[in-house]
Amino acid sequence: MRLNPTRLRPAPIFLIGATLLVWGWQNNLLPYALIMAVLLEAPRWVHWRWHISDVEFNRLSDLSGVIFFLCILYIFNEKGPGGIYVILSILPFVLFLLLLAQRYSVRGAIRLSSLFISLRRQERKAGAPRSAELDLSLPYCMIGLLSASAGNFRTIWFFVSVCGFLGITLWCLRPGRYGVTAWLSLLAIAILAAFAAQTGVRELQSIMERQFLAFFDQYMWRYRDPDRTTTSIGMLGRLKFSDRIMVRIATDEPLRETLYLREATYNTYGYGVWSAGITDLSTIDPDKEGNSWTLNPGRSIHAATVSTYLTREEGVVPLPLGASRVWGEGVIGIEQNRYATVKLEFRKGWISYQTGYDDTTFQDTPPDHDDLYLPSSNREDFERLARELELTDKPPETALRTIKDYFTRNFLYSISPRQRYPRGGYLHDFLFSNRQGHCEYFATATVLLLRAAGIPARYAVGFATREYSELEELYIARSRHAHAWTMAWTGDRWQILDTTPANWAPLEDEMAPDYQPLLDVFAWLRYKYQMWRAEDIEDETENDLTTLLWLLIPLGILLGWRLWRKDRVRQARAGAQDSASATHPGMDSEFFSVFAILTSKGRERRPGETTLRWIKRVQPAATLHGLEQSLNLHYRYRFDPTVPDEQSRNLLRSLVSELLPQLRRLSRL
Amino acid sequence: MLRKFLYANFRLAYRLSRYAQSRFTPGGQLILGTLVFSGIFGFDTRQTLAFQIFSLCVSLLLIAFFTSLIFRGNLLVRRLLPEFGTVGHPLKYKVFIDNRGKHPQRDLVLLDELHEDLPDQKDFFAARDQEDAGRNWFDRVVGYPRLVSMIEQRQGASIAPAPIVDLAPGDNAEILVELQPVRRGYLRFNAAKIARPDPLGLMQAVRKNSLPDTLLILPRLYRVPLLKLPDGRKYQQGGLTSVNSLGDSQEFISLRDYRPGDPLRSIHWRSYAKLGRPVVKEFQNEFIVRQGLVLDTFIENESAQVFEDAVSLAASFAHTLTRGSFDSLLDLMFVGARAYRFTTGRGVAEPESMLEILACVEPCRDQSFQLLRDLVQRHVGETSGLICIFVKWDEQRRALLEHLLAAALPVYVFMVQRGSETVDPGAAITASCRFINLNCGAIQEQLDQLDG
Repeated sequence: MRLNPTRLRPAPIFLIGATLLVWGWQNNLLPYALIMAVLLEAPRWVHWRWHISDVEFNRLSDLSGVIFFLCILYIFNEKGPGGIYVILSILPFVLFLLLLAQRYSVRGAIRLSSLFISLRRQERKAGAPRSAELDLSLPYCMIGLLSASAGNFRTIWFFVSVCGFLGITLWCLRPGRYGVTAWLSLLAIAILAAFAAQTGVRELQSIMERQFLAFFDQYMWRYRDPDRTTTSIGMLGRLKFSDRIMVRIATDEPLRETLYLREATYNTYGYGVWSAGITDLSTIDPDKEGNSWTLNPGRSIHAATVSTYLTREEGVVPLPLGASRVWGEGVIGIEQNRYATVKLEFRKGWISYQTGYDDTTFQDTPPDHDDLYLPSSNREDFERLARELELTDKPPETALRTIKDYFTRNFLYSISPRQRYPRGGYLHDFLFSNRQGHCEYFATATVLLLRAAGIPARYAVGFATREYSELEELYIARSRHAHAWTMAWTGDRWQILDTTPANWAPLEDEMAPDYQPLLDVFAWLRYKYQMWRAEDIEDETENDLTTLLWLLIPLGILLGWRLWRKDRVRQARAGAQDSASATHPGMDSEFFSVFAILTSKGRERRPGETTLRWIKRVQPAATLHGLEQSLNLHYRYRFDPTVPDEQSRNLLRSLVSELLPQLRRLSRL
Repeated sequence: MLRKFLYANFRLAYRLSRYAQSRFTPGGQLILGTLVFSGIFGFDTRQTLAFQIFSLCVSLLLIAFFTSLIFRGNLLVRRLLPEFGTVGHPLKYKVFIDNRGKHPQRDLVLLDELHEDLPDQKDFFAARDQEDAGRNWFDRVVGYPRLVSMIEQRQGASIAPAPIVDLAPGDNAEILVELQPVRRGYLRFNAAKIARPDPLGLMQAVRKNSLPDTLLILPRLYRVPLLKLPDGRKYQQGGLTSVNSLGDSQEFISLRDYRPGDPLRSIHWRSYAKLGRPVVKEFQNEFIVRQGLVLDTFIENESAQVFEDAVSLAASFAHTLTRGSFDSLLDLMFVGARAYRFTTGRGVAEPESMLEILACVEPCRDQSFQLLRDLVQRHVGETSGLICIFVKWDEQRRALLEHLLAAALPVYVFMVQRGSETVDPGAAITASCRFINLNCGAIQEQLDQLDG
C-alpha cells in the first residue's frame, strides 16, 4: 500500500538504531547508544502498547523541554560558549523520552501541538482544527546524525555513514514514478559533489578567518602580541573604541594622577607597525612561597589588584608602570621579555592578580642601539625637525620638555583622519601639514623625534585611566582608554613622555552613550558572576558531564512507574494478533495474488473502489477470461466458508492460474 | 523605521515559508531543516563534522531543485464547489483531474490555492489581533504571528494538500479536498496547483492551473432556543400583494383606477381592454405576523470577535426562526453603507438569502447609530416582536429600547461583550423585556442555559 506523500514517513527498520550507534561511536557514548537503540527498535517485535493521550504527550514534551533547558544552563555554566557543541552532542538524550513514548504508544505519532505551545493555544479555541500528527522517528535520525558530528572524530567513515543514512532515508522517500537507475545516478552525483564541497568548505573557512582576523582582533577581546602591534596610523574613517571595561584596578590609595597600565613595549617601527624584534619571553621562577614572582629588583611602594580578561589560558597582561612583583591565587606561571612585557599563564576568562609597583622608577632593561633606530622613510623628516627644535644641543631632560611643549602647542587630538596619504607619508603629513591625530601618531612621532635627537626611546602600549567606578569602588580602564606613549631614556633612567594632548581622554569620554551607567551595571554583574564561577570551578574536584546523565535514570524510573501504576499497559500480544488474523476465513485465497500483481504494476486500488471496478479500470478494453467467475468464487470462499466445497476451491485455483499470465502482460505504470 | 524594516522582513519570511511549503516535500523539508542546523553547527569546521552533513544536504537539494524545474504532462483540472460552507465546519469539495497526456502520472499532489492578500504596512500596523492576548511577549511585540494570522483571516480558509491517485494516460480521477473555513464571506479561489516530486523526492515541480472561483462561507451558527415571540398579527401596507401567498388566502375586494406606483401584477387586463384605461384589482388589507431582527454593526474599540459573535448570533436566530413551518416574516435591520431592511419568509425570499446577507455584513465605522434607530422606529408599527443584538450599551441604545418598550413591543435584547463583562440596563427595562448578557467564548454555554 502506498503512503500519503503529504506526510512524513516513519524511519525504516534499523535506521534509528544505526544512527544512534554512529552517534555513540563518535561521542564515546556507545553503551548508552546501544541501550537506546535496542529500546527504540524493540517495538518492531514487542507488540504491547500504551494508550498515551495528547495531554500526556504534552507533558512529556514539556518535560523534555525542561530537561533541555536545564542541560543548556548546566553546560553553559560549566563550559562557557564552547558548551554549544556539548549541547549538540547530547540532543538524542533530550528527545529520547518523547520518541520512546511515541514508539510504544498505540497511536505511533504525536501531534505537532505537543511540540509547540502556541499550537496548543490555537487548538483550545472553539471550533479550531486539531494540529497534524508527526512521526518523530526520521527527524530524530537527522538529529542523531547532527549530534554524531559533534564528536569531531575525523575519519572518512563519518562521511560514509552520513551518505549511507541519507541514502536509506531518501530510498524510503523515493517517488515510485522514477526508475532505480535514475535515482541511484542522481544520488551518486550528489555524494561526489558533497565530497568535493566539504573540502571546499574547510578551505573557505581558512580564507575567511584570515580576512576577518584583523577585524575581530581590533574590535573584540583582543590578544596582545608581545612581538608586534599594528597601529591605526594611515587608516581612514573615525576610529571606533568601545566602552567595554577591559581592566579593573583596586589601588591601595586614591590615584593622584593618570595611572599608566603597560601591556607591551616595542622598539622598531616601519610602515605603521611597531615590533619588538626577536625577543624571547623567559620564564620567571616563583619565589619560595610558590605564588609570588619578582619581575625586577625594583621597590614596591604601592600595591594594586588588577583584573583583566584573557582570551586564552595565557596572555600578555596590563601592569602598572614600575611593577616589580606579581602574585595571586591561580597564577600558574609568568614570562617576561627584555622590554618588561609580562605574559601570565592563568586561565581563560576574567582573572585577578596582585602587583607591587613603584610609579617613579622603572626597571626596564637599559637601552641599546635598537632604541636609536630610525626607519629610512622617516629619517629625513625627524632629523630636520630635531634640528629645527635644536634638540641635539640640549640635555635629555630639557629636550623632553621641548618636545612636550612642541606637541602641546602645535598639535590637536583627532580620531577622524580624513585623507589618505602615500605609504610612509602619514607621519610626514602629521608633523608638517595636518598636525592632528590620535595617540599612536603622537607616541610614534615622539619616539622617532627623540631618537633623531640621539635620545633612546621606546613605544609603549596599554591603558591610561583615572576613571573611578562608584559602583565597583575601584578604577576601571575601558577599551577607549587604550593608549600609547613613549618611554624615554634620560641618561640614567627610563621616563614617561606622553605628548598626546591632555584633552584626549575627555574627547574619548564624549563618545560614551547616555545609558552607559546601565551597561556598567550589567558588565559588573557579569564580571562578578564569572569571577564567582571561576572560583567555584577551581574548588570542584569532579567536573563530569556524566553526572547530568545520571539524572535521566530516576526520571525514567518515575515515568515507567507512573505508567504501570495507571494500569495503562495493553498486552496485545503479537501471537494473539497473528492467531486472530490466521483464523480469518479465506485469507489463503489464490485470488489475492491478482491484487499483488496489480499493485506491483503500479496500479493500486483507489479508496472505496470495488475489486471488479478496480480490475476493469486497469484493463478496460480486453475481457479477462474467467475474471468474474473467479471473483465470485473468491468472494464465496472468503466470506462464506461455512460450506467448504473442495470442487469450487479447485476451480478457483485453476481460474486464477489462467488469469495471472494475462495480468502479468500488463505494462508497469 | 524599525517597524517598517521588520514588516518588509516579515513579508519576505512569509513568502519564503510559503515557497518552502509548496516546493518542498515533507522529506525535503526535513533535509532543509537539517541543512540549516548543520550550517549553524558546522560553521566552524574545526569544531564539528556537521559541515559534511551540510555539504551533502546542499548537493541533494541542488540536484532536487534542478530536476524539479520542468513538469511535463497535460492535466485538465476542474473544481466542483458546494453552494455554501459554514465557519468552523470543515467542508469537502471535489476536484476532477484528467490526464490528457501520453504518459502516466504518479505521486502527484493537488495544492488548491486561495487568493493571497497580504496586508499593507498601514493595515498591519493598525491591526489589533484578538489572538495577541494568547501569545507570548515576544510574539506580541515582534508581530510575525499577527501577520500570519491576518493573512489567514484574509484568505478565509486553509486547504490541505490532497494526494492524487495514479493516472494512466486518458484516465481521470475525482479528488476530495478538505477546506477549513476560518471566516465568513466569500472565499476567492485562485489556482489549483499540481505538484510532482523530483527523483530524489525532496522538491516538487509545480504546475499552476488558473481556476478562479468563489465560495460563500456563512457565519458560524449557534444552537439558539426557540424564543416565544408573540404571534399577534398587524396590518401590513400593501397586503398580501407584497408578500405573495403568505398567511390567509388572498381576498379580492374591488376594481379601481390605476394610480402611479401600483404594481403591474395588480392590473386587471380584461377591464383595461374593455375600458381603455388601466384598472387595478384591490385586495383586502392583511394582518401578518412580522418579526424584526436588529443587528448592531457599530463597533469602535470593541474587538472584532464581539462583532463576529453578534453576526453569528443573528444568523443563528435567522436560521432557527425561518425553519420548518415558518409562516411569518422576518425583517433583518442593520446599517452598512446605508440602512438596510431585508425581509425573508415564505413567498418573499428563501431563508438562506438572509444568511448570505449576514455572511457579508461588515462593521460600520462611518455612520451614526441614529440611522439604525430611525430605521427601527419607522417600522415599529408593523412589527410584532423584536430581537435586538447589541455590541455596546449606551444612551442611544437605551433610548431605542425605551422607544420600543413604549410601543408595547415584546423585545429580546442580546448584549454581546468581551470577557466576563455584563451590562445592567436598569430595573425598568429588565421588567419589560428580556435582557440577556452574552460573553465571547462562552456564548453557546450561555445560550444553552436560556429557557426559550
